[in-house]
Amino acid sequence: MAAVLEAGSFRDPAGRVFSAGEQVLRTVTKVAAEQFAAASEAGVLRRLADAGRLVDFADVTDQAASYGLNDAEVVLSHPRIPFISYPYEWSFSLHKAAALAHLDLQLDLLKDGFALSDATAYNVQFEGVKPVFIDHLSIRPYQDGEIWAGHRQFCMQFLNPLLMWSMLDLQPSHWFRGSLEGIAPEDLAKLIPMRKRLNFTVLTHVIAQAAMQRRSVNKSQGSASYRTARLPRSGFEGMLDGLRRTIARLEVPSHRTVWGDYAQNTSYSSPEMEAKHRFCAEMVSAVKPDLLYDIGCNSGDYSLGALEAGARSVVGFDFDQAALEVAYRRAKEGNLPFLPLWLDAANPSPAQGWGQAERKGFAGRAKPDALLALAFIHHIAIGRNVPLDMATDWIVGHAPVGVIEFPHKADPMVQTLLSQREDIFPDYDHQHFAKLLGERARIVKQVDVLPTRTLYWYDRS
Amino acid sequence: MNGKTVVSLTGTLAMLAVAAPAHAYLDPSTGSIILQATIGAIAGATLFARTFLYRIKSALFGSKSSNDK
Repeated sequence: MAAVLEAGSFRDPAGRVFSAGEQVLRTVTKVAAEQFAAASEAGVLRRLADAGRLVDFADVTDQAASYGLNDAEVVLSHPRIPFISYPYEWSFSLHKAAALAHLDLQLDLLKDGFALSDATAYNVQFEGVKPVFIDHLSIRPYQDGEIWAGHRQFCMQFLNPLLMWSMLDLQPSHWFRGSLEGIAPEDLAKLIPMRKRLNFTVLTHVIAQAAMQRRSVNKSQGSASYRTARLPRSGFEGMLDGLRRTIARLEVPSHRTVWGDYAQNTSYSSPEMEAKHRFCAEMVSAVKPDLLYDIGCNSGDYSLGALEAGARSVVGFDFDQAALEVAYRRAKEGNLPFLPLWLDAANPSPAQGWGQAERKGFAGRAKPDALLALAFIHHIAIGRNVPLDMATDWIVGHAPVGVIEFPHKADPMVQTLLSQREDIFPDYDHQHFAKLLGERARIVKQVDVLPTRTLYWYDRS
Repeated sequence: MNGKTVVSLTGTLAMLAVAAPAHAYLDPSTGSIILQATIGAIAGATLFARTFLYRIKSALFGSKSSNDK
């Protein structure tokens, strides 16, 4: 089977990533062959893969011709990660976990005489909520005294978004999504008030770096003139360790109380929730999905239920960052194959970057076998004025089978949304919804979990 | 010492240091390089002091694992 180039892998001339059916392939080019051999022979790559910190790999160079990759020095095969996510879709805790994983990887590699050639956040993916590094070719021998080439990138893609979130209580996702390289120190510096600058990390990595960068740009003195700079290994380790300590302590003020509030409420389970759990579990155990989307996952109640009922992995999506934090904690504590991500369903991640293909859009990024959309549709149909037929198309389009909850207009959740505005939604009606759904899929089963809430199990496969 | 002097001083220090080839494909940017030349030593010394203190502490009070969240 011929391999198809992944549009996101072109920046580093060391290699390219390809797709061949269910396989992910990576070529190593001539320029990087020596460095790759060094990391490979030292056993660094194998150790990291065995520890689950680096995506697993197998050398399939002998099959290069069958994939049409004859020019490659080495061809690696990797297992496919269920869902590729981007930093602008991560919750604060996911972003923090990715940053710490990156720093730990650098620190551990240094002990073996290796280093990372860059610090892009796109090289971190998640299995459940556990960060996994995906770029084998970023690992190369460390040269004593070399500067940390990825420092600015680390600041832009990890440190600055996390500082913005924790210091200013400002979600950086929107900005990051518009600026795929991350948030520049020169920009963040303008937002930080005087009293918050008296912090070593902020003062050095943000304020001072921004000032020096601005000055060098004004004087049009490029980095080439500083290429001979030296950073002693102790200094490199010191910077990594200092950043690690700072980032490990960061938290978001407005998220602080959420987990406590949640923990107090977990014992609460109504007959309605039990009925919902039963209905979803019935669908999940019939379908046995490898991948299930939970759209509007909130703190992950039904995602966890789906895992118990036999789903192999779940990716949850929600708009509420505080709920995502709770979901993250539950996934982490239970070591579950559940990844909760941020999504604005009315404006999902677009296909963007170079050629508008470098970073994939939300639609079509993965092929879930089933989905849950519980207490969700009213948010887009009423909260965002999306006509009910279009909202139904959007949900049903994501997976061949699923459960959709339809809160009737009389439901308190819908009434809350309508309380602030005129009711311009004559079509928002459960009978009309059943008709729309029936035109798009077979309704396998339906149940009223409350007089004002109906669950529908649809199947269009 | 004004900002201009700081920058040229650190720049000069960086230039005087022995050459070590940076990995080619990612441009590290000037601001970052000057910063590293400036704070690298401080960061190294801080880590050294921290490790030293930690060793003393664990020798006196028994070892305790550190800082993670």
